[in-house]
Amino acid sequence: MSFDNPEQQPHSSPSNLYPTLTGEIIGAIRRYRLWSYLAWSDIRQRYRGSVLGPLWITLSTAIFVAALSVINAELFKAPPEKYIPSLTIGFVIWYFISGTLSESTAGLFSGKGLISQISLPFYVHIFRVVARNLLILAHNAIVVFIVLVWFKMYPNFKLLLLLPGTILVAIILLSAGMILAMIGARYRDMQQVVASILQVLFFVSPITWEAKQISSSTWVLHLNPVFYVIDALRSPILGTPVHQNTWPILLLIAVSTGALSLWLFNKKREKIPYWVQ
Amino acid sequence: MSYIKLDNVSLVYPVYGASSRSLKRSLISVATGGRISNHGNTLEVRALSNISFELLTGDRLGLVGHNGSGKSTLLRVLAGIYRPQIGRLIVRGKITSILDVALGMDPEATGYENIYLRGLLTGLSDSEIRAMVPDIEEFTELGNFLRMPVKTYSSGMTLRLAFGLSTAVTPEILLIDEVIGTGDAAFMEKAHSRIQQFIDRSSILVLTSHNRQVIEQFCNKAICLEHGRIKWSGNVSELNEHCK
Repeated sequence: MSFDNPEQQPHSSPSNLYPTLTGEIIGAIRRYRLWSYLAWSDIRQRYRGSVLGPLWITLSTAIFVAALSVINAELFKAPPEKYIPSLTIGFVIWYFISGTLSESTAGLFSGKGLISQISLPFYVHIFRVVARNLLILAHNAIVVFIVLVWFKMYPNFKLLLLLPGTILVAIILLSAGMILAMIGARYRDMQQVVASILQVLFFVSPITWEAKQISSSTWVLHLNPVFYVIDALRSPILGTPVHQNTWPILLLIAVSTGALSLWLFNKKREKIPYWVQ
Repeated sequence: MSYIKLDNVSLVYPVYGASSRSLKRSLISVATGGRISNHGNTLEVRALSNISFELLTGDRLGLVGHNGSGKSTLLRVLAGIYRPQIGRLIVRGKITSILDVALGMDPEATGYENIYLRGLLTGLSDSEIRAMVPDIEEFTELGNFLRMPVKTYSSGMTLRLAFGLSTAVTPEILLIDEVIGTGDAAFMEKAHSRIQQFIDRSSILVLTSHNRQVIEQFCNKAICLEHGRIKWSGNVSELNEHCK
């Protein structure tokens, strides 16, 4: 082997410096110990010094659901055994989606210390945000579990549909997360933009109200991507049928956000170290 | 066999001004054809121009130059952080970059947790991290403080831990930015022999420092940078006559 003369192989492994697109993603997945540790330490830091720790997440969701249930039982005269499980699951899913999206805007920017010191796959920072919100989701799932047991609603075979739904939503959130993180690193007012969009989305999504209550103006519903995300994850748990358009539209959103994020990332990734300065 | 080659590398560094950071302003400027906002808000700095050199195993390169001459930028190019727009860069070997000894340190976490975190950042396995612990315990002499959050440490203790963490791995290609020359005299003496051993374990070293003594002690080659260009390069013994 004539490796002693480096001139003979001038093209050897510049790839360890600049990974390919798939190399970035696979590299980030392989660093799962790093981003799950960072995600867990983020949560721990947020609740450090409090008695309940991360169980505050569970408690505050329980309080929110309980308060809203009491008010809306009066307001809509909805039967609690239908309304409360739907509200709880919808809210917990919403909390996960909105948390992931709003924190994504700072995803790369808050990784500044690492990005400007060592070469890591950029997706590590997005995985960290999603993993952090998954940990919050796990704490909130306790409330869902209690509500389902309370109303003796035991999931049927339709629960299996949760798997494709979760995969599609994961793709959508990782893709949208990277897009928002890149725009958020370049433009610092992105965080406010996303926060106000999410606020509007919450009110036009069937979380605190039910879809059939506004049958007159359903276009508000059907143009709202959050409706399909919530439907795909909530209906399998409730054992109710998924809306006919949910799967095709979710697939469409996953493919288009996925393609857009990969395109944007591939085009602009070398600017990220300058953006976060 | 570690190897680094730069072939006519040039890098333009964009600096974003406050108003180009606003999405609203940028959208307005797109909608109006850019007539409202001034484009001059994103500066482009030519940080490196036509840099070419080659390093083989055993080379210890010192980068010398004034502030803003491009030393740190060049180190970040070698570390794979900045990607040059022009030229070619070949790096063979695993890179260990120490641009800041306190890389990723979490003041809320304990000393031991910080050892684990640094290990993860460096890409080590759990068993490799465990193997690193006794060495760091011995060097830092922090004892039970390693079980306490780093925010409770004095600045000297924090530096000891940061330094111990940074020098615990076995580097192949080692990039160091201005880390030597901090801390009190007693610590420096101890740190000195540790960094000497650390550098001895590496196959290629690239080091930046303002301190000529540091460069002379650790390096055998030197490059003098001025405004992002190589002003002079050669043997470290001739550095002082060619580079003021």
